[in-house]
Amino acid sequence: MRYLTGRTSSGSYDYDPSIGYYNLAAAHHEEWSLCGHSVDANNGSDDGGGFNMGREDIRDNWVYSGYHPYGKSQYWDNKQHFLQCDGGTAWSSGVVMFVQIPSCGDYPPGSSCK
Amino acid sequence: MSSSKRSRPFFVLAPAVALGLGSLFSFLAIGNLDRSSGASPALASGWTVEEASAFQEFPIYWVGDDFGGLPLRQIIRYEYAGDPTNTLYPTSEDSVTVEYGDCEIPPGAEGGCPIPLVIETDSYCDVPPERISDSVKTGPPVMLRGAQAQWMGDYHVRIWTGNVSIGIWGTNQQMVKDAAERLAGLNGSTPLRAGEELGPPQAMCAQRDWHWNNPPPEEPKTTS
Repeated sequence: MRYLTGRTSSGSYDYDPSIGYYNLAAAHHEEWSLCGHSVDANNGSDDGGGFNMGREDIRDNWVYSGYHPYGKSQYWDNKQHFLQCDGGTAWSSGVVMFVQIPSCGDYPPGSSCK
Repeated sequence: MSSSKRSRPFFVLAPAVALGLGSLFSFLAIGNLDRSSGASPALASGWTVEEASAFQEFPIYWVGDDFGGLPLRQIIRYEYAGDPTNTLYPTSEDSVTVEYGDCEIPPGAEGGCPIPLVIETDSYCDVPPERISDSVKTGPPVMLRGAQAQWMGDYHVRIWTGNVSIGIWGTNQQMVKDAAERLAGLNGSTPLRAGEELGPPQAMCAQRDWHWNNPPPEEPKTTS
């Protein structure tokens, strides 16, 4: 069995003692506006802003409705504010979620694994 | 558990990228911290300085109307109860954030551009020291103006003092250090002045589980 994984900018692999090797993805939700595409601003949003919405969408579709086991969460405090082209500001709640990616053989019988 | 299961890769969903690399700034001027000395700046949106000054739930910290040429951009009061469908991790927020300066989004860039200086004050119990993952800490905790502090990379520090937790994000380490030294109170009857001791944290928080439903960690993968 082979695994494909990304490397960090230094050429190494991301690793956490409690998790093992992992790949990092900055999931986010964007909306189209006249200036282009922009991450949904937190302020005024009922959904926690686009950076959180992206993570929750993966959670809903991969973990709640899919076959990817939840691993754990960590608080990284990555709450830097990012200005969007529509003038809004978006930031994360600082939480990262670890999701396991099973091999096809671990999926329930009859499920789609391509 | 089989070795094949131990070696499965994980996929981490970080809802925001880390601080972008910014240009180096040299701070020759320090912002005006005297709230009574002039008209309020024109802000992008959010609270006015006067509105923030009247806030009573916890002390708010800032570095004045201007910081080294970076004008006060916005003051954001943010209360988010969290996603009610979430059973895996807490996402609620309770903060007041002061943004300084603007940035230019490069053509085709994803996610926007980082605001040059961001100072977020949270209630202590929302972001206590024990919530911070060891994996993002840079070195051991340090003392900063008599307060407990933790660096996370070069451009980000969090400070715990009194009943609040203050996060500072900048575009270089010197900017963050300067901002930490210039932190002053924005609200309250006798706000802290820049340079005065912040003091240690003094908050009593209810016991909270910050990592809901976590299964026991698997053994780390070993490589040959």
